[in-house]
Amino acid sequence: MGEFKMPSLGSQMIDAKLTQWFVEPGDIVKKGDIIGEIDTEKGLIDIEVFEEGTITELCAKEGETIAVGSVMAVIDGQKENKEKTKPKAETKAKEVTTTKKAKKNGEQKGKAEAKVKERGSARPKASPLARRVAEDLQVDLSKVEGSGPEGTIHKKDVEAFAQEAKGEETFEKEIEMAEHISAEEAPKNMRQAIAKAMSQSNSEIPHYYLESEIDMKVALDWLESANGKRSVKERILPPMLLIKAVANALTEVPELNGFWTDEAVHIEEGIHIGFAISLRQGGLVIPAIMNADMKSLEQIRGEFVDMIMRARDGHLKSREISSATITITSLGERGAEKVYGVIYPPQVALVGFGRISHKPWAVEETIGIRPVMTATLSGDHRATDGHTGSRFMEKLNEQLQHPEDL
Amino acid sequence: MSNTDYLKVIKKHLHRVAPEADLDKVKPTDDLGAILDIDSMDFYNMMVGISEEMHVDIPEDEYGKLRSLKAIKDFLGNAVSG
Repeated sequence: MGEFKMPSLGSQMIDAKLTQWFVEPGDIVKKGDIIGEIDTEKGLIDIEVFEEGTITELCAKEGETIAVGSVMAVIDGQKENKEKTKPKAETKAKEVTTTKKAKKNGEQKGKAEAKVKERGSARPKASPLARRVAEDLQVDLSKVEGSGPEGTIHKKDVEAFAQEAKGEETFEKEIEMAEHISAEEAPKNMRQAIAKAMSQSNSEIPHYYLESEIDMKVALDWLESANGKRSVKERILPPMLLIKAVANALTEVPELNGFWTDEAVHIEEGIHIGFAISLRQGGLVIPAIMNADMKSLEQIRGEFVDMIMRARDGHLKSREISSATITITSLGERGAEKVYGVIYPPQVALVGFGRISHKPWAVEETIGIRPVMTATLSGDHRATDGHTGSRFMEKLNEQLQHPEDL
Repeated sequence: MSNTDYLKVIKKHLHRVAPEADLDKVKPTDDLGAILDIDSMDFYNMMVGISEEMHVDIPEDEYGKLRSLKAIKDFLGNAVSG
């Protein structure tokens, strides 16, 4: 017997109104079916069910406002019962899905992380990097066959395992719920949601700001030559490079990747880069590219394009808008030169990129004209100091000077 | 295809990324990004749409120049007939 609960679509969300049920008691549902529609600060969202079974009860009434985590419906999942009797060591794909579910159901990230950690507590022999990768990709290390001495598991073993487990399915397809943001409903409520989050940020987070000018010549030259071999559709655009560069720099300065909760900083293992996308009708959404440090630039390119389309059409998934561990805001080609962003709580840092403009620049012993971009870091001073922030900026610059390695 | 047809295709894809814009007010040489506040991702989406519908690829060295209705229309004229 499964309970379908009001999903949380962000730390600011307390409740949402059920506008409509699309099912009745007795209806048989399967994973992915849309069973109802809720009205939230992010607009109207279609809620999807993530188990199979028969709806036995609809606890929530249409028009009722329901708190996050409250039971909305009861589903008699016969299939689920059968699964429970099976031994834990099922197929690999199953394992990944189950972990995802555990993570999703954990109301706080902390709890979810703890679950993931428990899972790894069998302590199979593995390199520290492999452990980190396993957590990011939510792979159970005890199921991975190590290729090292005495079966020690290396990063590549974990990645190969995850790849196999995933099969044709992408991470995103495993997501239990998808949301539908209605373009017409969004602006006012969204403005209020942004106002709430940003006010909280400004009153609670002691921000510090750093800025560095980055010479973008190498990166832009590399992009031009890479794009020369690609069709329009496969073009790599600067924001994609920036996302990857930030993700890579965070692997070296992880202190900025995490959350400030319960008066302490919690560094997150997974690097999920939120990217602020402004909407034409007003407001913005910040969907995240999950585990961006683990993905190739090509993967990020594909996901980014897809994400932008869905952000504008209103088909973002709940996981994408509630998982970012850090945010990037990029003003684009006609924007201002610098942006000092407001951190999106409970994150502890925000990276801002201004427009790229041509400037006189010292090149060895002479002055040249270079495309220069100002990168800024807004840091939560409770979590980190300027020294850590500076190290990050340095690593970010290094990444962008070697685009071929991104 | 005539120039009018090319313009129709371009405007159709412009409308997709900037649905609220009054495209009749856009002058042929206006910078589309600036005048309609289209960012690089929307611009990219528009160009992909045009390229797919017209079955033409847009080379890297042309991409940056295609900023106005006229520039895109002329490019399409050459690419399709050539």
